[in-house]
Amino acid sequence: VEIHLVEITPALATALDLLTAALDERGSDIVQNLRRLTRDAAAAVPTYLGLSLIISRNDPGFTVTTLADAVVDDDIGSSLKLLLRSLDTGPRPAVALVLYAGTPGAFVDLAADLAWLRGRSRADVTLDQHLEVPRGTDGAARLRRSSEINQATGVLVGLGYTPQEAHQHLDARAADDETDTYSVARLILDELIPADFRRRSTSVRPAAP
Amino acid sequence: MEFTEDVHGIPDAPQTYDESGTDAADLHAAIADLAGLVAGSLGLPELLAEVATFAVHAIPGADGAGVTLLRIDGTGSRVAALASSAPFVAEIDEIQYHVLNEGPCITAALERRTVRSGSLGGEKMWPHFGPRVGRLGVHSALSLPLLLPDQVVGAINVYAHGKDVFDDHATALGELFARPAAVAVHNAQVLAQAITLTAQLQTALSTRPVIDQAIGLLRGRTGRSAEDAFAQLRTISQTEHRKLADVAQHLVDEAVRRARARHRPI
Repeated sequence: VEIHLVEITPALATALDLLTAALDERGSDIVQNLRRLTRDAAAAVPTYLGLSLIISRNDPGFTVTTLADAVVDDDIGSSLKLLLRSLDTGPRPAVALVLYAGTPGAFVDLAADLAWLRGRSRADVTLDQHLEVPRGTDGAARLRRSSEINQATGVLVGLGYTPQEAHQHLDARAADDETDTYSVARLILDELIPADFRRRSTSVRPAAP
Repeated sequence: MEFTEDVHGIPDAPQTYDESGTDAADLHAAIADLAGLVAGSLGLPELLAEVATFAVHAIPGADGAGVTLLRIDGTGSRVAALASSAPFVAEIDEIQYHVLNEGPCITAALERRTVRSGSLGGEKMWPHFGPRVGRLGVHSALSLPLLLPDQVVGAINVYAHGKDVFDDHATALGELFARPAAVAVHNAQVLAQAITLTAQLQTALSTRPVIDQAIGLLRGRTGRSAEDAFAQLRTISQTEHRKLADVAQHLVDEAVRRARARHRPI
């Protein structure tokens, strides 16, 4: 079967560029590194179909998936999940890398290598337990929404709230308006028009925190 | 990874039974060492250095070896990682990759074939590299491409001080060693890339929220766009030689401190 690797979509690339900018490291490029990993995983595994990077944290959860053209779950015959735990003790989210291939058993050798290379104490390697691609976790959209919610939080911090109070305000207003937090954040950011910012900002500020 | 390669393909070079048996045993031992590498939880640079050392053991006559991972694209090759078994190999690698961009590893990787020379000083394949390395007292070179089914990932370079050290027999042993070595280093490279990407995502996801809050803070104060506010943050970061996330955190903390001061009862 000829496999055509799908390029990272423009929406995903834009979202990952947000993260590259946050890295603040000259020469670092998350999109480029994801492309390299995709390409090299394809060279390591026959019938490679794609990968998911699943970052587990409370807010926001984040999954990046790149798949070969037109792949559906039924095409996935084997998987390898590698849990990459933080090496430091800081509060950093855990990351799981899941590779997909079309042929059962395709990851047996790679799994053995990765498990030993990483040392059993620091990695969990799971075979063939993830034959479905994570759904409903559009990483690009979640990153963009999270970015704008945090910007709105910053606006409220400038108006006298702590970040925690700002988040509470966004949630409370979303509940009052029967909408979601992102929509309230967008409304606050949309009202930031230089000419009348001061006048309009009073409308987004509730009673003093 | 299983290393099941046998050595039945070793050619009948003119040697005694004892020599051939010793070489085969050395190759077996070196390949077993490759398999044992994985038990050490090595990083990619350490693994490459170990592979270089095992190559010296596996290939008769070798005085030193280097392993290079290359990224090859339409514009040529670029060193992704390298390691050597001895300082003189590191010196040769410096000449090959950084000074001249010419030499046996580059030829082996680009042409996906084993190359060797028994007299580097007069070697026509590398008119600049050969004489320069010959003047260092290194006269024999054997370069083995590290091949996967669909791509070349780099090369093993083996050197000796004497002339015409690497014959067909040594070349065959080297090629047998290079096959599992290619798989080992490539898998290690995949893992290294995954770890790098993981660390980057972890860091970025941890710092992006406060950077966005600082962007919002600046937007609220100035009415600027998000892009302009980010550029302002970056300018502060560069001017003050502080990390972007630290600048952002300081801005947010200062705003919170001022807000609390205003609310504090007198």
